[in-house]
Amino acid sequence: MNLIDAYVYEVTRRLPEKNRHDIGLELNSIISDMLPEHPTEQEVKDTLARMGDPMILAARYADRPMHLIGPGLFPSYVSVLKITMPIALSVITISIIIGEITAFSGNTNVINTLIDAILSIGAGIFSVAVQVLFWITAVFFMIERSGAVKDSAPLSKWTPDELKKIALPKRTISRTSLIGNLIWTAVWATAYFNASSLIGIYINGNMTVPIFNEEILRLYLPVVIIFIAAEIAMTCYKWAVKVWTNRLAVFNALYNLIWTVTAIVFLTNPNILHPDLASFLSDLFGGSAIGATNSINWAIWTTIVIILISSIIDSYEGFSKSRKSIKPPGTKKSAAI
Amino acid sequence: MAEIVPSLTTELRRGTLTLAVLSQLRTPQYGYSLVQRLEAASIQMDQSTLYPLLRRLEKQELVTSEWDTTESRPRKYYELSSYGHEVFRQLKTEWFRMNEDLTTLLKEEEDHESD
Repeated sequence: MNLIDAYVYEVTRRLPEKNRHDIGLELNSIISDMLPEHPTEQEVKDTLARMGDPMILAARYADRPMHLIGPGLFPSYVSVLKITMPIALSVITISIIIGEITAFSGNTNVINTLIDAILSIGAGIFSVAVQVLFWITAVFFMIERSGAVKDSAPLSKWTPDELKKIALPKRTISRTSLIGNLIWTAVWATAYFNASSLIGIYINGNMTVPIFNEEILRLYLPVVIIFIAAEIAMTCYKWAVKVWTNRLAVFNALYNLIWTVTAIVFLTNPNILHPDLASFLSDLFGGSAIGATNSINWAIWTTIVIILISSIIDSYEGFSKSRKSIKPPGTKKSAAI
Repeated sequence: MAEIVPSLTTELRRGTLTLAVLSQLRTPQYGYSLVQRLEAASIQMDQSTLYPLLRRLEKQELVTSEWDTTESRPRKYYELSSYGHEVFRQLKTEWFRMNEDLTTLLKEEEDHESD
């Protein structure tokens, strides 16, 4: 009899309080019905084996799902994760980068700071990813248990109208590149604001001479702020429209043009470089002022060429992607017939 | 290929179990007597499926239950409610229609094959 009591207990302890007594009585009665008058232990075991795993029986009695998130909710769960995860991860990455750059003073070792930054970005990404995963899973778990979702019916009813919102892959703007844009904006903006203590020539990991002239940097500050705002607005706009359109491509090209022209005007300003830099470089080149000027010019023009090329590539990409029209599969075939 | 047949068969059978159980509850039955009746009709059903199913049917008000304590051992009897009778009647009609449609379909396919 001991085994039967243990079996009944194994089932009922997993059930809600109010059902325990009744189900316990019923199971006892069922099991006794299945057994002969004076059962041997083997007969008891065989009978209990026919009843099956108490955990499964309890789950069926409880009528509770045996999964965290069922097939009805799973697609919504995945899409919420896909939206939330990249945003959360990029926000944490950007804020750690900004934090590291602003905390950086010219006196600390660059390499140490860099390693430190990479480590804290890694740790930040990991803990944010775990948090996001946990909380979203917890919320969906609760929705699943609340019984709001029946079997395999998704949260909202699908209609063909939803297809209008779907962007076909070719014209879509990659989310990763937009996040890249934001990170890039954050990096150059923070670098600009802290240029006097950050951008310079480093010897043994310590900054010796700053590169840019602070006065000129301050002069351009309003323009830079406008550019930062424009870049963020542009990225948000791209994120919202999702696909390349002709208008967006024109906007993009125009923006690139203005940015390139401004960058060239800025870089070719004769007073842009820190006064100490020229003398430092001519010392470096063994007293040759011409060598110093040449190397400076070379660096400036290389930068201009890089900016020019990347702007052209970016503008071209916008136009070429916006041209790709949506053709449903099979159009070609029917045209041939 | 052999492994998929049992699992597909289980899937086919699953939907018919409620109908099978309802059909046996025109007269009051207790858990184990129901098992024996189903087994006699060679309907296979896990006990761990049957007993929870009975409670669910009761919750859905298709069957009513009553403890009988007059005999040496108390037993819980289940029986169709009047609502259960009506639901059973409709389900049965559905089943016959479905059975007929599918039989026609499968027969056609068989004839086609033997041509």
